[in-house]
Amino acid sequence: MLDERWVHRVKLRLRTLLLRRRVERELEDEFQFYLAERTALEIARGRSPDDARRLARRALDGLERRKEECRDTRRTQLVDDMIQDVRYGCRSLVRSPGFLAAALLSLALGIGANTAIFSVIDALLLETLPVERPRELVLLNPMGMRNGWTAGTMTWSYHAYRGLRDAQQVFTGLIAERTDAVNLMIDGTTRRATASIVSGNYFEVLGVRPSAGRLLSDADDRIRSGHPVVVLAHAFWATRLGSQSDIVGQTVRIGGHPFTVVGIAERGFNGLEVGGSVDVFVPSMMLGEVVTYGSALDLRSSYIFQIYGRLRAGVSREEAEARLQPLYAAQLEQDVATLGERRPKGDGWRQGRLVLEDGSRGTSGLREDLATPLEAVMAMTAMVLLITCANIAGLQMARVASRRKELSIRLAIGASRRRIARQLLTESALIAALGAVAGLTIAHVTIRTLIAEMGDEADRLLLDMSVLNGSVLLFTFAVSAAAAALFGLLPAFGATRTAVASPLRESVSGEAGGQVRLRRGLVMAQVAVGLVLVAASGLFVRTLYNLRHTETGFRTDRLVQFQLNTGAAGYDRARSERFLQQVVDDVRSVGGVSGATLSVVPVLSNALIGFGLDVEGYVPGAGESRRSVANVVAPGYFAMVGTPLVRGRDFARSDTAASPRVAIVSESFVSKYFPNADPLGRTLTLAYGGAARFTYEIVGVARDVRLNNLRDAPVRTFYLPYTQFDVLNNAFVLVRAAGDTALLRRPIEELVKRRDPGIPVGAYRTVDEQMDRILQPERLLASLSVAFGLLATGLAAIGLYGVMAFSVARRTREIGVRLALGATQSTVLRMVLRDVGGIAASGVGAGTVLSLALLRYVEAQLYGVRGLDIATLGAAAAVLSFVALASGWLPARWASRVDPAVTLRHE
Amino acid sequence: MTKPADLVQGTLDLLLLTIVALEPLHAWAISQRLRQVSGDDLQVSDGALYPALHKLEQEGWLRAEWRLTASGRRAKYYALTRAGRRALDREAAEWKRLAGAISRVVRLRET
Repeated sequence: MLDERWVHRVKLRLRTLLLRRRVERELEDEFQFYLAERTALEIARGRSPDDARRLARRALDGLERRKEECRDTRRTQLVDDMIQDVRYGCRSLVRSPGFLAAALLSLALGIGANTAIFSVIDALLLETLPVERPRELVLLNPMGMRNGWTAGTMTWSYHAYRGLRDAQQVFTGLIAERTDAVNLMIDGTTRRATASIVSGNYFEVLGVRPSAGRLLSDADDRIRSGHPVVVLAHAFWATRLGSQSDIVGQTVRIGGHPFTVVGIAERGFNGLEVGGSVDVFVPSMMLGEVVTYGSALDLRSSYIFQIYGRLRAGVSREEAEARLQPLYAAQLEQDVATLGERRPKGDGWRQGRLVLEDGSRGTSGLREDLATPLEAVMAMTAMVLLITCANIAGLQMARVASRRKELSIRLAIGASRRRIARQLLTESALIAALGAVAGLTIAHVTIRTLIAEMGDEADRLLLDMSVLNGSVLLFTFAVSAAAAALFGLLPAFGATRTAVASPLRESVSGEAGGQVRLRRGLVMAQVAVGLVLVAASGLFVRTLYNLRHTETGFRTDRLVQFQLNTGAAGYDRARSERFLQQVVDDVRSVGGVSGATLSVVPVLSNALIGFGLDVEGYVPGAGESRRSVANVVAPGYFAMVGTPLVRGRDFARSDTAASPRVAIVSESFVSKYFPNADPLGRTLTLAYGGAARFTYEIVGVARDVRLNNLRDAPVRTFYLPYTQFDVLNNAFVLVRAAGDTALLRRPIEELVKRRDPGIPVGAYRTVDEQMDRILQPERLLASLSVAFGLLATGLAAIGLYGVMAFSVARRTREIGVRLALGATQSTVLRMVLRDVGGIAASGVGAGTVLSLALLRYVEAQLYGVRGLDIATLGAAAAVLSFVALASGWLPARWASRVDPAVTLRHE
Repeated sequence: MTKPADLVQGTLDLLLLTIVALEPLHAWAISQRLRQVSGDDLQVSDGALYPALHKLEQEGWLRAEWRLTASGRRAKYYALTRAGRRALDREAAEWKRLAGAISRVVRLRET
């Protein structure tokens, strides 16, 4: 058989390659056997032993030649050469351990940083959802009016979902999903968990399979409160339930209601949000059992779901979008109809359009926050790698220069230039391969640190992010190969230009000049890129500083907040109110607490509640947004957080459910709605949760504050007393410590537990920690850019030092002559430093131009500083100039210390 | 044939395969056997034998094995593989066809 022969051949080739010595010995033995037999024969024929041996050898017609002919039949020349190159390369690298260490260290850092950032980008920005044909998924984003209550990023009412689902013809299926934090009780233990409330067809449309039991279907989502079944996410089951084998069929409790676990979803599927995964899936008809606002299912004004669709085969996104517009318009029409007399004036709302977005990668808050910073970081790491390559290229060229004698001897005895270039490239590839391995290790460690840095939302991300994922490995391979080409080709070409004769003549000055020019160019480029990185890090650090020192409008020192989710424990509104009030009173009595109050919205968490509202005496223009944001607070809140009331009064204990409803508004609210009038005594009307509308009378005006985040200017805000807010099911307690905030945690946890062990103290954090959390992208950028800036500057310094040391060594004789002819040490010192200054100046010049071109792309990430900031750029230029001169100082000193007598004698 | 050593291209392979087909042999024995059988008509230099054998081994037609000779020395024995057997049949048939054709042409003159 042909393949039998092929196997035989491969075996032989492998034997040749792997058992090289043995194959050689056998070849030798074979010929020796011939010689022995032939000699014996000739002796038997009567010849003298010497003659016999000579005759035998002659019969072979050149023993070595025959051996070579035999070797040629093996056809492993190319591989042989490569193996030889690799061995030779290894030996030569081991012989210069200093170079190897420097090259490897810098390359490992460069590749490691690139791989780490790429894996994060891959997981967050590139990876598609683990569902069937994810490219067919689209997210339905309504860009029209929303008049009512919006929870987080949710955009659709249940009615609109049903309407679209039943009327559309462009999708094979349309699914609705929302997520909520719930208390999940299994085997008597209550855990905080993330529930995904989904339409019945959810798993079927996504094409997710069960890993145990069954998943939900349309039959599980028909009757209100009629389907007490849940599906667990595989990760939740595996990590938090320890893969408990008999879980399917068991009863668990969510919000106090019993549910039967019918199955476990496919491994790797954690819902549609990347980086914020789901623990348990619940049918949408059970919304009322899971959270307190189940009635929201009935309301057109409750935007509580996001909708994904799977496009029919052959229907493009544009086509589907166009065909859906009339259906969306019909939904808007019905939304508006329910508003009755509150119906917006004019036709502006008809402009609302439905946009289909790519749904293949799910949604991710983390992605929105981090996409641009990550891209900036990726660009920076690429620059660091460039500098690294330039450095290694420089070092390699220096090595080649010092190996010229060896290379020209090899050329002289017949090695081809191509063979020598290949040899040097092999060496570079070896370095790159080693660097890639070390880089992967560094990346692995870095990713863990990065994830730890990014906080708990990212913990989930860690689960799926192994460094050894195919695309990441491919990326690392590509980067290393590109790096090897970058730093390997230049020295390899340089080396092949080596003339056979010149180094043997021992004259160094001649064509080494070209190499030195090239190396100067590389160092200049390093200084330039280093400048960009240092300038960028300056901008990011200043941004972080500016944000950290932004005037928030409230006192952030020694302030702690934690969450009490009473709704998740099944409390109704009245019980929630009582419980929250009791806890606040308890907290106030703890030693070391100087004040405590309630706030439904956590501080600096982008969580202010959005409402569409009508303001007395204000007529909105056509298409004008009626939205404002709100917080719901307790009496004493303003004094406690330190936001002054500029007019009117605070909420009081006498403002109860029974008394007239009151509100406090912010200054910017006043300037928008009452530019020339007195706001006190005016009313605002809004709807939330239910169909009813509520009217509140304005009793006070508060100073503007930045409650959502540090970056955005204060938005128009109004405050309601928690006693007069009808969907109270969850609130934060704000506590001001008299001393150390860390001492309060234990007593607070204990007192809450005494009140109700079923309600955990959630998200316990100081406001300082919270600031760190929301400034996470900025901190990431600042710390990474500083690290990269330092690395780049260090590498540029090493490169500059290397090229100057080389150039001084080369010019020793010239310097000796100058000194002999009467130049002073300081003249020589200045001469060399002027040279350094030249390189530095051109590098800084090029870097400035580069910065001007590049830094405006990071402007969106900055705060309180422009992309083209002269002071920052100047400082960066000064830093690099200083570092350049400092690293040129040592070679300059050597030059000035040259002893003319010694140099000239050496000649 | 002016020079007996000038074998027709590829004939050496056929000779070697044929000789080894009878029994596994080492190179020295092959060279002896070649001389015995063909007398001086086919003179193959002993040196040229080795590359030829190595080529056949690499082709997968011969299998090599180290064994002890009658006199107790280690020698590399070549044996025919199944692929070698098929190659031999093919080459031999080809040779007969060719030789037959040539002798028919040559016979033209005799008749």
